[in-house]
Amino acid sequence: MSELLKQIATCIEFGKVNQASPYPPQMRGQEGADELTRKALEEGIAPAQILEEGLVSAMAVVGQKFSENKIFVPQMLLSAKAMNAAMVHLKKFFSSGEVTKKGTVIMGTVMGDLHDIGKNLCAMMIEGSGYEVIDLGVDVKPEQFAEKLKEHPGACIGVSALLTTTMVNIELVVKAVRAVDPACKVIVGGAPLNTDFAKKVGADFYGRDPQADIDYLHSLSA
Amino acid sequence: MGYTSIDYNELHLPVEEIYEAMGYSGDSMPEDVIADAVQDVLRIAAEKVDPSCFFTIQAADILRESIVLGDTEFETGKIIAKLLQGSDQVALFVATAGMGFERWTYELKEEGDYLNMFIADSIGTCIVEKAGDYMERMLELEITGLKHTNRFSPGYCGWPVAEQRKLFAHLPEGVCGIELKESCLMVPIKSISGIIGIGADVKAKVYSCHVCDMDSCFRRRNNRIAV
Repeated sequence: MSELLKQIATCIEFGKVNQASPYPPQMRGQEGADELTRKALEEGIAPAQILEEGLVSAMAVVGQKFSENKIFVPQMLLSAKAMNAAMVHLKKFFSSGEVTKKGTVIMGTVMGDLHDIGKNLCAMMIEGSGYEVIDLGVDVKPEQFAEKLKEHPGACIGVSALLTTTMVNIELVVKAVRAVDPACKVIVGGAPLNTDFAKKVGADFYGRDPQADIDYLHSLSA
Repeated sequence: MGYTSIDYNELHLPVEEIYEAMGYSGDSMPEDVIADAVQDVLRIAAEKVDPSCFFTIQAADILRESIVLGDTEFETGKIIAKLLQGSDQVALFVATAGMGFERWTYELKEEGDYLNMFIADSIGTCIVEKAGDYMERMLELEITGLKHTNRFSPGYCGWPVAEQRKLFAHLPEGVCGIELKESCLMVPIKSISGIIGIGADVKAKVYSCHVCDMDSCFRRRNNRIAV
């Protein structure tokens, strides 16, 4: 891996967004993910290589560290912010087809529920792992998931709920999207959920944390 | 007692509790940059928040797995009913960080500032709990000579969240500006509601996992912040 890609990965792992960013203190004054990604493109490194070796590899480390309780949510958010700063420079290559995503995930908080911190965190981590994320927001009706799936055939669905009264609506989402595509994979997440609940409503996977979601998504394409 | 608007300065919000709400615990404290961000967000939060609380005291019969207020039977389950034993009255309460705070967190979301939004969310969690503590102090002033239990909320210790509807039916409409959604979600999200037992000889036991037998509860399952 080139030194520049290693530097980008380090910036993302430790949340160094740009040169002006004061975080992390040990990298103060140094160039961040923003400047280094631009430099990598100027030096002719392929956008796909920057994505895979600079961004995705670093976010995998971040997700693993979070799963192991070695870092906390704020550090993960700073890493996601650094990743987004790098991603700004790569976006045009997605639309041109020069860089391809690993897959598409349609995400949302279930109907009746407005909690979205966990869902947003998962969305950022999944995007940083090389997937296209379509975030439908909060209080998303089952038919909205189904309609979006029609626009993006083959996409996975990610549904979040934080209330015992709203988690039951996940079953409606599963039914709605399976009516569009019987093979559609559905990941569920949220504090009151568990694997048993996922099975009961017909979902394919319960994601305990963002890295678990990512590992499951990777397993689908393996 | 009626509605009480609470001065933010009377909430006495320790920063350590905010860190805990953010998932830090024990020796794991946030780095200086994160701690500085918490202070920055806290300063703005103090301007945006408009906390308030309300409680009403009513006669109650505590049964084995429920409590009865007039024509309404609250199906609290045996854990909470047991903890309320000895109460001959209950206080039904709400407390909230207020709509100003809710709007501000929405603005942070629109700006895509997820770190500050997460910090604000954690601060909101602490503010509403402190507003609940303030409400308890107000209750103590009103029940001189009597004791009270801890506060218990629908959604915890086996009391279904759907019982919120019964609870809110006993409270003034739009109390503290809180709206109960069809899903029983309160808006502002940073609001709490519930019940407190009152009697001559009731006990305030620590309200934590050891009083509850719900093995599958996420609070028991997760030893870190739930995301």
